[in-house]
Amino acid sequence: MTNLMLLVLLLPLLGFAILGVAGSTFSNRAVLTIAWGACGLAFLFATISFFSMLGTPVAARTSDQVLYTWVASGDFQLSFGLLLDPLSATMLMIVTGVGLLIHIYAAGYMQDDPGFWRFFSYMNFFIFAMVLLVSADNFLFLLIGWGLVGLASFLLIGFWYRRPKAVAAAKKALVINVIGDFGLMIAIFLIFKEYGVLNYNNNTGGNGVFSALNPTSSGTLLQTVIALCLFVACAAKSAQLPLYMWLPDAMEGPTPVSALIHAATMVTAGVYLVARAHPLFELAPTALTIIALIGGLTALFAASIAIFQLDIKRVLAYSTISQLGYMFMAEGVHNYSAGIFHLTTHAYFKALLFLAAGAVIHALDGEQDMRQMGGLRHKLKITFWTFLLAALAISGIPPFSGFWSKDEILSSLLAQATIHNQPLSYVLWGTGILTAGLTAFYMFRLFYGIFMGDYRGSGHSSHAQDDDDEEASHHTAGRLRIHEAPPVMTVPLVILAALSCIGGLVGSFELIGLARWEPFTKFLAPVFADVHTMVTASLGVQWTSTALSVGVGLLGILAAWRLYGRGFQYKENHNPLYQLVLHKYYIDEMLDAAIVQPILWFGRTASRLLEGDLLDAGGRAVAGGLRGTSAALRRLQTGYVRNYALAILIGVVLIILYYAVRG
Amino acid sequence: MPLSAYLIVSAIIFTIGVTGVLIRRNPLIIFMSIELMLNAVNLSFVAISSYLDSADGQMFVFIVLTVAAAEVVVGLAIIVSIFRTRRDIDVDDMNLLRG
Amino acid sequence: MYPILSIITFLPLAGGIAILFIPKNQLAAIRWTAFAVAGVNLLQALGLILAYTQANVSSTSSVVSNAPNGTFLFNERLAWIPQVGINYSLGVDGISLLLVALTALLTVVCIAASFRIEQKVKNYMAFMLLLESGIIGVFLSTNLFLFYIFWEVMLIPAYFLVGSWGGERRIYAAFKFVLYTSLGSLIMLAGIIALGYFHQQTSGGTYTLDLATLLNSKLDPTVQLWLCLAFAAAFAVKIPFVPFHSWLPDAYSEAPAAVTAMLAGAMSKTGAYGFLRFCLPLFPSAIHTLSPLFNTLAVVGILYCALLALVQTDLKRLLGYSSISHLGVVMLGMFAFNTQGIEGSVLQMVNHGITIVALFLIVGYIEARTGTRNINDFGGQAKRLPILATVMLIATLSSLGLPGLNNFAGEFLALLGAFRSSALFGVLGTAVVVPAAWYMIRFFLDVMEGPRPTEGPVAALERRGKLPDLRFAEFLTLSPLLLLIFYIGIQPALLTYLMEPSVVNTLQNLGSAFIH
Repeated sequence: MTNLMLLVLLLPLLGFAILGVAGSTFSNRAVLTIAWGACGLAFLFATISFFSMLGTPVAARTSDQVLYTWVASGDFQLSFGLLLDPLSATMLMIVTGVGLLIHIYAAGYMQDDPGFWRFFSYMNFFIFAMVLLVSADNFLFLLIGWGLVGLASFLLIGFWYRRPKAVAAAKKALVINVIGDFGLMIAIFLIFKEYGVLNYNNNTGGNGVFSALNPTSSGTLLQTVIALCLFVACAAKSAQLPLYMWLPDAMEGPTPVSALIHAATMVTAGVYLVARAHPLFELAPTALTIIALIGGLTALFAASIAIFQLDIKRVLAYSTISQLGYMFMAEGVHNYSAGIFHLTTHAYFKALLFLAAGAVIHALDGEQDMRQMGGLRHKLKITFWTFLLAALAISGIPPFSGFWSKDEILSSLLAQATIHNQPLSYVLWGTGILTAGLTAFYMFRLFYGIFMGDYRGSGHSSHAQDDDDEEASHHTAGRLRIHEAPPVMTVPLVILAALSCIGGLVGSFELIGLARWEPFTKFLAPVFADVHTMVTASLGVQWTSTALSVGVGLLGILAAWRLYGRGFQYKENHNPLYQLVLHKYYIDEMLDAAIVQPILWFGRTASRLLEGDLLDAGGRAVAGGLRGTSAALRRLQTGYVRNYALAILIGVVLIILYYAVRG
Repeated sequence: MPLSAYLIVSAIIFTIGVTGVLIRRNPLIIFMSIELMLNAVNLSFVAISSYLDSADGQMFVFIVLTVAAAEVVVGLAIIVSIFRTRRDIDVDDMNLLRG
Repeated sequence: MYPILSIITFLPLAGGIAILFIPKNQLAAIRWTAFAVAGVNLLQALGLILAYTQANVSSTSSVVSNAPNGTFLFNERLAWIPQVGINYSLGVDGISLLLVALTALLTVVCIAASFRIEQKVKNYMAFMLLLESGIIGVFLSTNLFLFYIFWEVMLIPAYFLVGSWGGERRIYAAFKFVLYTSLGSLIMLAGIIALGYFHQQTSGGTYTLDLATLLNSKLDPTVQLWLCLAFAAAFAVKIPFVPFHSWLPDAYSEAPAAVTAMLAGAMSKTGAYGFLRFCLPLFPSAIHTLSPLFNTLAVVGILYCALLALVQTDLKRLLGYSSISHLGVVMLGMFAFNTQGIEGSVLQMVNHGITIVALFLIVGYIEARTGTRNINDFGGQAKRLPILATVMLIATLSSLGLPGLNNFAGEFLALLGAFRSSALFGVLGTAVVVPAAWYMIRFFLDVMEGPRPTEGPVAALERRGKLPDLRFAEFLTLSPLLLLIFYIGIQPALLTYLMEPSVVNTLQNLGSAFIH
């Protein structure tokens, strides 16, 4: 079983290596064979591992296969192993499974792109990095995976590397993610300083971090700082306030990338990290409260921006940020398995939404502006239906998957509020409910905008040509023939739609009296066995929360239908509040003015004043002074022999006089 | 004769030599003046040698003579070589070392 | 016994002299001779590593014990001017071993990259080999006077290489470089002489400059302080520490690419090595007193130069400032005084050497193709130069400390050590990863990606289709560096294994409280 893990890790790496070295000489078919093969086999082996794990007793479900010693320096010894436990198995299934579907879809979407092989080699690399991240058995290799997924994200955002916007977005994503890496590094330093190890649990004997924890240190400043540093990393990777800015820009990448990396898997790494390191977070209640708060704030904030966006991918990007906020809220109230559950269902429906959006963009030849869409329900039937299912799922309408996970999170919040009677938790719960309504609203605004009403586009390919005229562009100018995507793209849509419908059924059925049916929570239970602080919601609380969230969701859909049911109408609106939200609260501009520009100004000024005027010119001034002195002294060298002789004579006379006077 | 007489003569000759080196512009004369200075020193060596009844001073005289001969050889060679290139041996024109 | 250390030190010198006898129009013969000499020396260095591991295993106890001479293996010793304690004595330990191997490797790479040089090839190659001799001599000397001689020997070829083959302002740059470094080294010379004197005063024995004996001296703290500062003057200029770095951007940007690579990759390590080999064990009390100062200088250098690198438009100056910033991390790790810090520091010296050489050579290749180093002249060149772009991306990622590549391993250990000894300095030093990512990725993106330029030399070349991709020979030149970038990133344990006993030895001189 553990050898299979190694294959899951290395096959995508092999695929990347082959494609990266020789991919340019391959035909598209050969590229696909390798890329699909690597990802498909990884998925196959992950599935086998997963099911063989299901077959073992609950207590024996964790295995840790040590591969090698990365470094040994004094008392810092780090051996790397592959960890397989229910949590990493769940993540592996999502990563390789959704990854495989998106690999398949991308074959159609990227068909005519000259960088076809490059795209698939990066995708395979991403799968490798993500598998490394979720199956590492220590914080250092988690950090390595963390950095490598960031690299994959960077490469794929900037995939169309001659588009200035894509390059700028890639740069932004990388730098903001490095802020997260910085947080993670500091957290690792603190963990090592405090516990002397970096492995989660012992894999070669000795302690692991989690077994070395001291419950009495709960709530100390150190524990809080460790947890917060870890959360800095999570916030950067999972686009939470205040480090979310890169994710909307990341939509410059190809749509399959947005689906895989920036919706389904990589951005959820932060959620995974909190779940993985939950023993550390459990010791820092203050940090958990902060996480829940930031999660709630982000959920509401991003949803409010999503309402007015016109670019369909950006709506989905803000929606992703908002949903990630939900997951952090769940983890903030100790309900880690609810966070992971929502991560799972979100992976299904958000990947589906992106892929469906991709099918729309594909059909409209690169058009992403909602104002140029409408009435596509007739022409893109499969896309239409799958998108509708996904929209229902994310809006939390039963019995679709999003309902189960979101419902669990919201009841958890309300339970926390009622049992501990914390006003803050009520506020969080209220935020969650409000966001649920907003989510349903913006999602159906998007749905109506794309599929309902009449077609508003010009019917011409309006997409800006690639600035690189040599690239064989598939955007043929002229009349647009709107067509459904080929089967290679629609099959993944259908599979994901099926998962979006039934994927939530592994959640809790307590609501309808089936208290024993909660396979997902039970499956993850061994990982979170040490969490005793989670409160369980009473049936009444659950019903209240569920009724409200579904009600608000329906209200949101209704409002969207009232406003946009006959098709989306865009009206200029100069209301300052509207402008504020439309421009994303001007946060990008503010950060640019407050941080980026001052730093560059400092660099330029220091370059001119300190380097140029102080050090360089200062050095030259010293040299100039010496030169002046020597210019004065050299006048003594007349070159006349007799002057020298006279000088000697005077010297001799002076010496004689000295001795004569001294006696 | 007392030692002082020798030394006074020697000092006078030396001073003549120094004056010659300082004021003449022809290198040959300057050389002769240097020889004068050296011989003034030789004179005092010999005088002091006889005064102290020791042979050391006379040995120094031979060394000085040898060095002086060597110096003249080198010096004259330089002068000849300069004369060949410049057709002129005025020392005031030779100031290549001027700073 | 085969005097391997002397041969490693002087073989390049001998090769350089031999090259002078080759007729100057036989360029190929000159180039290949130089390459062969450097290559043989690299093989010797690899052999030395092997021999060291064998010897190390058989005498582990003596290596880790506190015996002053136990640190050095393969010692060679000849009396030279014994009256004043000057001996010809060489020795190698785990720290110098790695740096010697690094120097030998980088020389081979840089000579291979210099085949493009057309003017005064003979002198150029002879100077490159002399430079190798000087640097290796610095790493192997165990007598302070010998060390000083090699230290100065290094400067001569460096001066000529910058001054005769460089760019427009090469004379200015070379002068500045020599003035800064020789001022520092003269102060160090005074320190060396004084150290011998004070050692004689306290121990009452003979005047000696042998490192092994001096390690036992118990100097007065005040004396230590001044001597340490005198030594630091030379080392701080060479590394460089921040207020003494003004020579570096000029020298690095004016010198030809392969020379810059040698200076940045190998020679800059001599400064850091000097601190580790002499200042730390010889003046333990002073180094503790001064460590807040040095830590501060290191942190200021790390952050300040990172910010400067952000706004440079000359690719080489950008790399020059990044180099100062990275060496700041090396120093920060060293002044942590614990095993992780010092091992990270040495590891980072090796890593920085590998990565910065790759980067400078890549910039050299770009400049050779386009005639410009101005970052604004470029854009989107990945289209025409896919292989060069890939190689450049790998080197860039290595330099910005991408987890999984070599620099990450070194930086992580060094910063971990720094953090253990002082959280403040550790956090400040670690913060550099953000600006480092920013300027390095700008370095890559602005050259290789983004919209193509519409005017300027690069645009003209691209229009005429005269922008060839990396040639196979050029790729071969870079390939050992690329391999090491991956290997050290994946498995740094081998390097730390080699250096660990020597690092422990150094720490023992500082006081055993620091070994963990």
